Amino acid sequence: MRLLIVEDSRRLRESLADGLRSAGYAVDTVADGKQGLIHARTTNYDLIILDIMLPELDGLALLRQFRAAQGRAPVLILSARDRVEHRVEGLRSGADDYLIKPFALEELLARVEALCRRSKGVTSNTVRIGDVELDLAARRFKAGGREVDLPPREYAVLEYLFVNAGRAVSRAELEEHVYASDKQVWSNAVDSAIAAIRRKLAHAGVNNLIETKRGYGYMVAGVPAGMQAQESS
Amino acid sequence: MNSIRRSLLVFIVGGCALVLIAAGSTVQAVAGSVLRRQLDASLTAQAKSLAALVVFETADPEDPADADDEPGLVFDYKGSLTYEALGVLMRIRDEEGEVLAASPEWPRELEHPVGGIEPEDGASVRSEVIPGIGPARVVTLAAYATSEPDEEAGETTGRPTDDVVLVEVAGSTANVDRAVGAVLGALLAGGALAGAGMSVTVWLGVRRALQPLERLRRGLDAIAEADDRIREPAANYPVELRPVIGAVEQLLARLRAAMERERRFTDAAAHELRTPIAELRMIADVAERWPEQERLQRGMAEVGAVADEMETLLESLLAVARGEMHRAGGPDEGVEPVQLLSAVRAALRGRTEGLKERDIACEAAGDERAQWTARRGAALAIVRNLIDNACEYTPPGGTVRISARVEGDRHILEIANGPVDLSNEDTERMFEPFWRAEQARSDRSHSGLGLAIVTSLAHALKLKVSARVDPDRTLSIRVASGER
Repeated sequence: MRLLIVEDSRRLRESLADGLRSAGYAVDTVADGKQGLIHARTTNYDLIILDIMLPELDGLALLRQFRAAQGRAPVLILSARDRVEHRVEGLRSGADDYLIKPFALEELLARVEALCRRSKGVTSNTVRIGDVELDLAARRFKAGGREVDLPPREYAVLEYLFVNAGRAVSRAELEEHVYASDKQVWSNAVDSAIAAIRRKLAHAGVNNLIETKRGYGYMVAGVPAGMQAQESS
Repeated sequence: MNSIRRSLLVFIVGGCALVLIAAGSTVQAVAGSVLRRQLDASLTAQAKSLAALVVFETADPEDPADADDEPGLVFDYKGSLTYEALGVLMRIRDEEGEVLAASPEWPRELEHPVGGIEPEDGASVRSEVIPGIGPARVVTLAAYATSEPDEEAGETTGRPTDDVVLVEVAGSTANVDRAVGAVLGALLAGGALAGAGMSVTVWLGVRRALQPLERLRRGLDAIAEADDRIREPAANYPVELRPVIGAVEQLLARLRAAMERERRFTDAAAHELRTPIAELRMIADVAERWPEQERLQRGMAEVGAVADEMETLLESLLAVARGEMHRAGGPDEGVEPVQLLSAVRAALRGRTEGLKERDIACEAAGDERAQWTARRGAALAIVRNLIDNACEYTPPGGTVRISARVEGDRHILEIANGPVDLSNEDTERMFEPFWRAEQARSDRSHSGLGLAIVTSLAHALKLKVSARVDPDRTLSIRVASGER
């Protein structure tokens, strides 16, 4: 999952990004509203974490312009403004959630997971296809009843394919959602990750879970349990 | 109990009662005086009538019956002289004091010297208490006795002689006292009725007059946070209450403004304090969950930096609070002359290089005599914060001009910097704590309290602070002593 953090406080921005990256998310960061709007419009983020009091362009103005331009990514507002009218204003401007500073990392991660899950139509933390089970909350993967140890990047690739099960996902889309823009992505990074996942699945006795769409990308076939059917994006 | 209604009742009814008493007393005194004068006039007339009855009788030589009579004064009245018959007591004496006639009840103790009273003196009146008739008025007058009329010459009345008689007439004042008592009784009864009626009228009138106050109280009670105005228009109230309503409206407006300032301050303070706490919390949570050596070291360094910034913020808030404390009447000690240009040079020390790097032209000039008599630390803090503010918020290529001057009794420091993206509306709020032209906090090296410290300390030092933005986008902040 790829997230955008728009926060003017450098320390908070960096520590948030550090925590979310460590949790397996691809994270982009910007420090002002204008840059935030450009990023939000040009990249298909799975979630935007947005401060309100931003230089150049106020967070709420950014949000309204983003929604007016049909931006669909869920938005989580992080703000020190704690009064009811502030929260109402934020949610009515198009935010999906509102978290007041200061907050605990655990709570932020839980909200990020819930928002990402909901935006993909996932109704449960556990997604299962045949013998393969993905625990989105614990970020664990089981195949044939056994836990398979996946590094964060491979888990992120598999998770993205799972939440988009039944739909072919292009390599570019995988790159966009799994790798942050500030990381250099090798041209075969996605293919290498898929190969590694397939090896581990085969070792667990699961074959043919991930199909290759030649010249395009990859797909996990079938609608897994724990997910609502979703329209193609 | 302090009550307008009771005060009005006491003052109006008490005042009217005093007026009634004074009027009654006057009427009683005047009536008594008039009746006594009438009595005195009546007694005097009676005395004159009695005096006219005294004749100088001479013996008729042809009348053998008068052969033995000596000529002399005779009271020529044959009727009874008793109090019952005359209604008064009387006594007539000649110049030697010999009684010519007297009522039998005339008391012995009621003596009056004979000499010294002449007929030309008129009647003298005095009050006495006479046994048997009580309080009385006694009229004394001297009169010339008359001769017997010469009937042969056709006289009907005699001619005055040289003989003088002293006539005394005493009449009871009982009738006068009864009449005065009746007048007093009538006045008391009328006054009591008038007082009762007035009390009721005043009570009703005061109650009616105070009804608008009760309406005003209900109007004030009804003021809610969302509707903080008196709903009923001031024109509906009596003219006496309209200034009060105006004052209340003004007070409410000031309260609204103060509450709005307070709200902005708490919002800004919450923002300023929550963000560093959020940073600390996030650094700690991430380090706890993924405790890698490099992250821990980086986190510790960041925590130290956040602590430094929070300390600076706390010091700034304390500076504002101390200024407020002095403003509220704190100790006014340690006051000394602070030379303004010296303070400016001290504040600029160490800033020159930074300004050069940003291509900002900075000039400080003025009158060396310009000075504030103030606590040195506070005065220097004002100068330093103003210069920090000007240097920090002047864009590259801009200018900072500092001048100190003396105008009459006023010693003025003016700091102008520009170009700035501010309007004159901004100058009304720029001295509020945490106010920033750009509300975002991309750089927390400045707390947003610099100008709040300036205004707080300036008020404490009785300096006047004002600001304006000129059409060329120059912000000028002026701090002056000797102005109100």
